[in-house]
This record gives sequence, C-alpha cells and structure tokens, in this order.
Amino acid sequence: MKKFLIRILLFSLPFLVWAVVLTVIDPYGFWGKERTAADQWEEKVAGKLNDPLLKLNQFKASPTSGILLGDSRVYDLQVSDVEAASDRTKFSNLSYGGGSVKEVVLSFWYAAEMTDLKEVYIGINFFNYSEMLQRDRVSEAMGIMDSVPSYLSSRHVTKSVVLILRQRYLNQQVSVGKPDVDRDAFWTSQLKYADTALAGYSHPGERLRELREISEYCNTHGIKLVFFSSPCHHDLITKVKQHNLEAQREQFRKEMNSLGIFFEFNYLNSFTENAENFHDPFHYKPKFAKQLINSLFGGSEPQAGFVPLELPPPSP
Amino acid sequence: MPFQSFSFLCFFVPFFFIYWFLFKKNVKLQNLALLSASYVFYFIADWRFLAFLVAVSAINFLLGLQIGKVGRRQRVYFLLSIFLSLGGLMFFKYFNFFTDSLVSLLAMMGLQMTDATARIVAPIGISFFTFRILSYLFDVNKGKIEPERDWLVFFNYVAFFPTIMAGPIDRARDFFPQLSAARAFSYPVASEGCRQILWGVFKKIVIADNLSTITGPVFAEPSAFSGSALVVVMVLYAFQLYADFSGYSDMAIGVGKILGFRIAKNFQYPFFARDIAEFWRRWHISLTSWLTEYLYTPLALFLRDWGRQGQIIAIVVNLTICGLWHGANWTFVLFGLFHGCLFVPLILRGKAGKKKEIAGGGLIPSFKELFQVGATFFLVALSLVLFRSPSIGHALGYFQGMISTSILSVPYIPYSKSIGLVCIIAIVFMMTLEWLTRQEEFALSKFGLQWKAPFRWGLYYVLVICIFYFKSKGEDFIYIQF
Repeated sequence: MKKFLIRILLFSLPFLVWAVVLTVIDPYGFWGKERTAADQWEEKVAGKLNDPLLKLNQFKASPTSGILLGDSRVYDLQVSDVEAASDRTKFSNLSYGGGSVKEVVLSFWYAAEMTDLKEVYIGINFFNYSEMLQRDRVSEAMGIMDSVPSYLSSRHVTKSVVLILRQRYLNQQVSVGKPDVDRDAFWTSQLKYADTALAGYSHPGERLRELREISEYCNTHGIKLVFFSSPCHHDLITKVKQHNLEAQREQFRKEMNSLGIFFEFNYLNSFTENAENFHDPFHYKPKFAKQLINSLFGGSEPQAGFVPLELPPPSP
Repeated sequence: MPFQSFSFLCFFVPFFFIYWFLFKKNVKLQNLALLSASYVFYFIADWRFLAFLVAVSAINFLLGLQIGKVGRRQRVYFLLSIFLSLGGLMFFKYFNFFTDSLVSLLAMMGLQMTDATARIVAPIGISFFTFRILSYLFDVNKGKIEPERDWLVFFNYVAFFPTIMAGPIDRARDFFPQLSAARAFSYPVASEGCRQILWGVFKKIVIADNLSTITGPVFAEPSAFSGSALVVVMVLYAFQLYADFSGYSDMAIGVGKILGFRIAKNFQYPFFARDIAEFWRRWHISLTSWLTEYLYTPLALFLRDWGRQGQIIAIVVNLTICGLWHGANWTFVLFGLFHGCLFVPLILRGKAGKKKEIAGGGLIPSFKELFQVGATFFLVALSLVLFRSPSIGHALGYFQGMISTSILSVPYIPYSKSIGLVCIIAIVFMMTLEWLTRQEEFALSKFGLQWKAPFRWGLYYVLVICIFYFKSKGEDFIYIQF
C-alpha cells in the first residue's frame, strides 16, 4: 500500500507543480488577475488561442449592460468607439473570430444570466446563417470556467502558459493564427471556403428558434436588440447567386427583420465592389469599423457603403 | 460523476482511505462502506431514484431467499420476481416507446389519439442493474447458486458503484464470492487498475470526446453534408462509440481492481473481428454472454428440432432483443435485426463458431483476413448509423445522403481539420497498440512493463499530457443513457 501511494504521489508531483505555474500566470483571468499595460500582450496570446474563454472571463469579472455579439466582422468594433457612439451604455465585445450563430446564442444567455442587459447588437451574415456551421467554443469555455480543476486541466490554459513562458523567458515572439500565405492566395482560399460552405447551405431552423427566444426575451425585458450584416466583398456577395441561394438570402433578411431592428450592409455597392476596402472577401479593413458603428448607433450621416439596404417592413 | 472527472477523484480518494485503512480488517465494514459509497454515487447521479434502487434490491433479496427454498411456491416466487424486474424495466424504459408506437399506429389507421401521457424518466443504469438481478434470479432458480443470505453482499452486488451506470454486467456467481471473502490490497493489481483507468481515460477524452465534436453536427443535420463526409463520419462514429464504451469499461474495471475486485470483461478488440459472429464475441461481452446464456441457449434448445432454421430464429430474436435493450426506439430494433440477418449466411455455411486467432497470433495478417476485418468493420459502421440516429427516417436520410454523386467529392466538415487530424493519429495509435497487445486484457496490461522505469513512466506521462492537451468540452458516456 505504502509503495502504491508513494508512486502515485511521485507521479502526480510534476502536475502539481505545473498547476501552481498555471495559477500564477492565469492567462485567461480566471482569478480576476489584473494585468499591467506591459503585460497586456499575455492576454492577447491567450485570446488568440481561445477568444471565448478570455472574453467570458472578462465579462464575468466586469459585466456590462451592452454587448456586441457575432463573428470576426464584429470583432473589429472597438468597445471604446461603441461606448462613445452610444453615449451612456457600457459595452463588452463578446464576438469571436469564426464565430457561429450557436455561439452568439450561448453568449447572449451567458451575459443575460450575469447582468441586466440594456442593448444587444448581433452581427450575423448570410454565410454563417447555415445549419452546416455549428461551431461551438462557448460551451467548452463555459465548461472550463466551471471549476478550478477544469480551468487548470484545460489545454488552452496550458498552451497559453507555454507560449507566454516562451516569450517571457526565451524571448521567442509567438504568432498565433496568422495565415502564412500572401493576400491573393488567402483571398482565393477564402472564396473556395465560401463555395464549400454555400454548397452545403441548409436553413438553420433550430438557430432561428433560438434567436426568436432571444428576441422575445429582449421584448419582455425592454432590451434594445439590433441585428446587422457587415459588408463583404463583391466576390463573396455574388457567390450567393452562383449557388442559386438568392431566395434563401431573402428569407434570411426577412427573418432577421422580424426578430428586431435589422441593418443590412452586405449588398452590392461602391464600397463592397472595391477590393482595397477589404483584407479578404469576408473582412473589411478595421479602419472602416468606426463607419459601421456610426451607422449602427446613428451618429453623423452614414458614409457610402454603410447606408443600410432598405428592406420592406416585417409582415405581422 | 464520470470516472475521469475531478469530482470523482474527490469522491474516490477519501473513500479509498476509509476502505483500505479504516476497515481493512473487517469485510463487513468494508462492504458497508462500499454500499454507502455506491448509494452516495447514485444519489449524486440521480437522487430521485435512490429509493427505487434500495427497494428493488430489498424485494429481490427477499424473493431470492424464497426462490431458494424447495417447495411448491418456488415457481410462483420466481415468476413474480421476473415479472417485477422486467415490469420495472418495461415501465421505465419502454412505456413511452409503446405509447408513442400505439399513437402512431392508430394515426395510420385514421384514429386520432392525443399523446397526453406523462413522459416517464428512467432511472440511471436500470438496464444494467436489472440484468444483474435477473441473472441472480435465473441462477438461483436453476440451482446454479445458493440464494444470498447476507443482505450487504446482495445490495452491494446490485449497486456496486463502478459498474452501476453502464456495466459491465457481472454475474452473481462470480461477484458474490468476491464480496464475501476478505480482501487484501495488492500492489500489482492496483497498479494494473491505474494503468487500465489511464488507458480508458485516454480513449474517452482524446478519441471519443474529440470525435463527438465532428460526428455530432453531421448526425444532427446529415442533409447539409456531402456523401463523402457522411461516409467519413460513419467510420469515425464507429471508433467514437468503441473508444467511449470500451474507455468507460476500462475505467470501471480499473476502479474495481483498485478496490480488490475482478470485474467481467466487456471488450476483446472487436474491430479485429473477421465476421459478425466473432464481432459479437468481442463487443459488449458481458451483455452478449448474458443474452447467450439466458435467452439464446434456451431458445435454441427449444427450437433444436428445427435444425438450422431454429438456430437462425434464435439468433435473430436474440440480437433483436439485444438491440432493443439499448433503448426504446425502432432504430435499435432495426440495428439488432440487421446484425441478426448478418448471422444467417454464417449459420447456413456452418461458420458461426469460434475461429483461430487472427494472423495465427503473429504480427502480419493475411490479405484474406484483412479483407474480412475491413468488411466486418464496414458492416458494423453501417449499422451504427441506425444506432446513432434519433429515428428511422433520419437514418434513411443519412443513407440516402451517402448514396449520391457527392460521395466522390472531397469530404468537408467545418472546423474539423485540426481536431480530425488529432483523432486520426490517436485512432492509429490506439489500433496499433491494441493490435500488438491483443492477447492481453487491455492495451497497457503488460505493454511497457519490461521497460526501465523512466521509459515506462515517460509513456504514462505522454498519455496524461495528451489527455490534458486534447481535452475537449467533455461528453457524457454514450452507454449511460441505456
């Protein structure tokens, strides 16, 4: 028995030491670790590996009554700009790169449980409004945040700490998630990805039901709910026609319009036709984020490309 | 409280010390501690049915004593006990199924009947502990074992926490002697238990949980995916189910070993089977051997005058019931029936019996064996689409999606590239290790034991690191729902 216990203890020892290291570095702020400006890069490294885990932990530490939800196209909307435009409400950006509608729904309920929401802005494009795209990193993040052992045994926490230690002590610069191809090649690969995604397009009935629940909840609780589709490049917009999905896109617009206020920026116009405005077919350059915020929050007159498409009023 | 969770560790470590330090000299106290732990474990899993579990144990304990008495009433008590056990199982597990089927049948005949019945929730592990009890009752009735007079032994047999959720289904005749005898801690057995748990956790977390993130969305909406993606997911699901259930069984058996128990084996490398008969001798062994002993053999004997036809009827009935045991759904009935039908050619050709060791126990199988293994795997994977689908219509949709021109396209499942690669590497590792160690009880049973300690520990560290590193959000064990 003694031999057994000693060996178990010896075997566990390295893991116990590692748990202490993870606790001290706390890359995702699980214990509410405040980082100095000089240490902000640590958060960036962690966020690149698991954005939902970082953002949900930050939201838990300081919840706000305004939230932005969506994918990478919402990611670029700076909270400080949004707060300046909205004038009074504090905002958190709970959008994630490559985010899905499922993640939007889960993040909304997480935030609603945490605080009294007042304003919710959801960015959904036709491309991620498909049953095929069911990515869900939010459930995993919530599971990790569930308890100390889950947090300490998470691969994301481990990987972040390894990268942070490498950069801190070995001075090795880490780059996570940066595509190692040039712009043109990346542009083409993104269009190929769009082809595959649109070829398997299927109406997301379950997601629509979940969005309706959010809409009803917001109506009942007096929460301002706004949906919007960020502008994408012409190459991507025309893919919808190539795949004979125009009727489905119209249905998407109708459905979004019926859920709350809806701004459609994703249509052919002078802005979406100019490739210089985009990093890749899906993403406008971050410098235009302020214009999108301006259109959403009704500041000064919207600039070209950020005038929402006029849609017929939702049928009762 | 899954075995691989931190909460289980918090539950098990204090219990381990109470069990082996406080009560090590008194088997009665050890059994009392074990029973208390089992009830705490069950209470945490589903407190609503703990009283039911205790009541079931008490009733069958008393009925077992009556069945053991020679007399006219023995048969009455036996029939009563079978009626109660099967009645409980039928009520909790199949009531919804029968009412739903009746409503559908009446609707087809033009009679509308509202489904106003309350939905019945089944106690966790009911299929497993009912089958344990039934084996005891059958054996007492046949005089194979004496009725158990120590209530602690019997109650422990029914509620034994490592196996109550999803088996293996131990027989009373193997388990009672272990519960009655004094237990001494054995270092080799306990360390073997730890290795088996490690291997089980690796299979569950690295393979099964990660595969579920790929297969789940595809099974949820098969029409959104190409035929080639559906074929890939069909194959991956077979590995997922195996890694999940055999992983669970390894953990349960390993926990049992740490507590000084030898629990029945559940898997014997089923994906190396060369035909469906061999597959069922290697897959969920504790259930198939139970069904063979208490259902197939009596039925085959009853039908022995019918020759091969009788054998075919017995095996088809046996496997259909095996399918239905998994759950109250026509998909499971079809799953069992499909496997029963696969036996027919083997019985007709007289080839359903045991076979020689694959590759003659050596390293390289023949081409014929490889083909047989591949074909058996494909048929099993195909049938598991039925097993996984929520309805027959859904399964048919899946098959329809596979049989299309898109089967020739490059399979595409969003966000599955990196996790898919991890899974494929882990599957290749698992299958290679299991091939090399297929004579042993489990892959890590003897593998590496001859190595020097740093290398051996290095292997275990690699597995633990993989478990932490590739841990996904974590899924329930598939078989817990049964």
